[in-house]
Amino acid sequence: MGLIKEKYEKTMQVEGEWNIGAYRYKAPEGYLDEFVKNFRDRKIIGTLCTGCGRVYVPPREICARCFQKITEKVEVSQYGEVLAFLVSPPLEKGKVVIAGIDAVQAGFLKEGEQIILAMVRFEGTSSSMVLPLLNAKPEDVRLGMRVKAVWAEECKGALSDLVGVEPAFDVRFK
Amino acid sequence: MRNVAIIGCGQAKHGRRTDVNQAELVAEAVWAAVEDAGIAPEDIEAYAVGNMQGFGGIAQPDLVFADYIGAAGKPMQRVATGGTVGGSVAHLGYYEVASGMYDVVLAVSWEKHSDSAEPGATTGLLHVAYANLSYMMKVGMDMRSFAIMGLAGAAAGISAYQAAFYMARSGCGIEHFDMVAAKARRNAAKNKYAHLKWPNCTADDIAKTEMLIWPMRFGHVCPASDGASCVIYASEEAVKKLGVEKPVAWVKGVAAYADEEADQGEAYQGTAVVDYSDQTGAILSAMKAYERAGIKDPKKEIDVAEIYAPFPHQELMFSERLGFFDDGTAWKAVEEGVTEIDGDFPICPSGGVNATNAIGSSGMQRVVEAALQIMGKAEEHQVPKDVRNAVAHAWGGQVQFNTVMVLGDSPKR
Repeated sequence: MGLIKEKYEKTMQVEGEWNIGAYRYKAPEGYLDEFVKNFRDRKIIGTLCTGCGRVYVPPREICARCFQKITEKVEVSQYGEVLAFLVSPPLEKGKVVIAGIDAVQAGFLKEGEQIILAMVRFEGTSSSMVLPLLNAKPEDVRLGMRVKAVWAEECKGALSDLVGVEPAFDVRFK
Repeated sequence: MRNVAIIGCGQAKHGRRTDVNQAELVAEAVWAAVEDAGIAPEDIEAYAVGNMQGFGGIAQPDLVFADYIGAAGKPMQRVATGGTVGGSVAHLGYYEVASGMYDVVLAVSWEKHSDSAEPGATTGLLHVAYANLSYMMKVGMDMRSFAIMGLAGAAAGISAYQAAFYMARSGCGIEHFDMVAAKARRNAAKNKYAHLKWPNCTADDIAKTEMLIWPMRFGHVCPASDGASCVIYASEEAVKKLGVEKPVAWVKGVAAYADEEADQGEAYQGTAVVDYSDQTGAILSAMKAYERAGIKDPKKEIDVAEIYAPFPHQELMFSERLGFFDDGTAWKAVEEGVTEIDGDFPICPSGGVNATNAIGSSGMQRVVEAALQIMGKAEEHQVPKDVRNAVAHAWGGQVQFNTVMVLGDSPKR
């Protein structure tokens, strides 16, 4: 060690690139395809564990609490509550770079938009989903607020059909 | 189970280390520990090693450094448990001695983030997330959703939600996160091995940093450090045989529990974890480790703790889950200065993971720092109070692995 430290202040650096080629990722057949297919009819279908009564959305195949296979499917409410939320600052170029792609420059996200991400539990479920909270100002968002699903104008049975959630009707005493 | 002592600790200087390669970085911590223990390399019978798989751009660095740390011709095992790995390596080394398999075992863990272009992200996180992302693309995730995921992805993203959950549960505000982060930077300034040092840093200084994604500021986030940490374990008989006279730290109890992963699981399946600040795994680990260590009231019997908290809300959250404060009250203790170096219950006097995060090293560094506090060798950041028992905690995985080690100044009887 002594010799190494006396001799070098900096290690030699060699630039390298690594093309990992194609991988085959395995996932259980069918269960998520079916979940997403139901988006065409604007339905959210979860799975029900008969062991503990938990309803999972997104659906899961095996209940980690009971360790049993789940086969029952149930439609759940379009309404839910916000369990936690995050608010991005107004987006700028160079701020959101994923795997070398600038998401604002590439047009995936708009310059200046402020994104609210909500962890939503749909009514009757025992799990949560991360979805963008739309049509709301950051200052109006609060934990526990009621939200409802927002669907794409034309639903094709893809994950992107469920665009996000928006505040549900607000009834107040006046 | 036999009594086991930590007889030597070593750390590499943490930070951006362009002057060494991975093998040299690991060797730096190892030889510091051997020197500290005052033993010869031949005395070491076995090696436990580990880092966060894939983060330094070399998939299996343990293959290239065995001879740098004197492990040639000896048993050497690697563990990998994501961010928890330092804690798991510390446990493995302990198991090997406690079981009676070996008398003197060296445990070292490390990380070298700076070798990767976006520290850790390209080689480390993508290999964790790529399968899920590919699958979600297949079922029709659009590029906008993909980019939104990037806004709050990986450990920092999950932790940002966790911070919001913790705020809802405890009633604390972002100003309390500022206080904890400022304490980490201040304490780190007293630790010669730490990365982000900021003498006299105040909560206001942290509050002035940019908001990355509410409720997490730039000043709340840990650095991506390079570093290595190492401990040497010896059985009670070996401590006598080797003639170790200086103070040692005794391992009194360890426990590690996994929980269901938070957030979407494998291939976008839901999980039943609906509050990320629950941390059932941490609660179970702490309860079992205390039971094994004979600790009945952690609030009174533990003197100092090194918690794995890359983000400030986690120091608050875990200090409650580990039983040092009641649920939802740790931020009040921070307001009162209880967790400062000279407070009644010092937490992360070294500056902790928030100031220095060489992921693989971080879990082990908690054990090293807890041991140093017991041995009275923490130098400038030594807590002034008498330290009889200390806790070292590590966290990682997909928010769901926890390890807890209780160290003491005397062997368990």
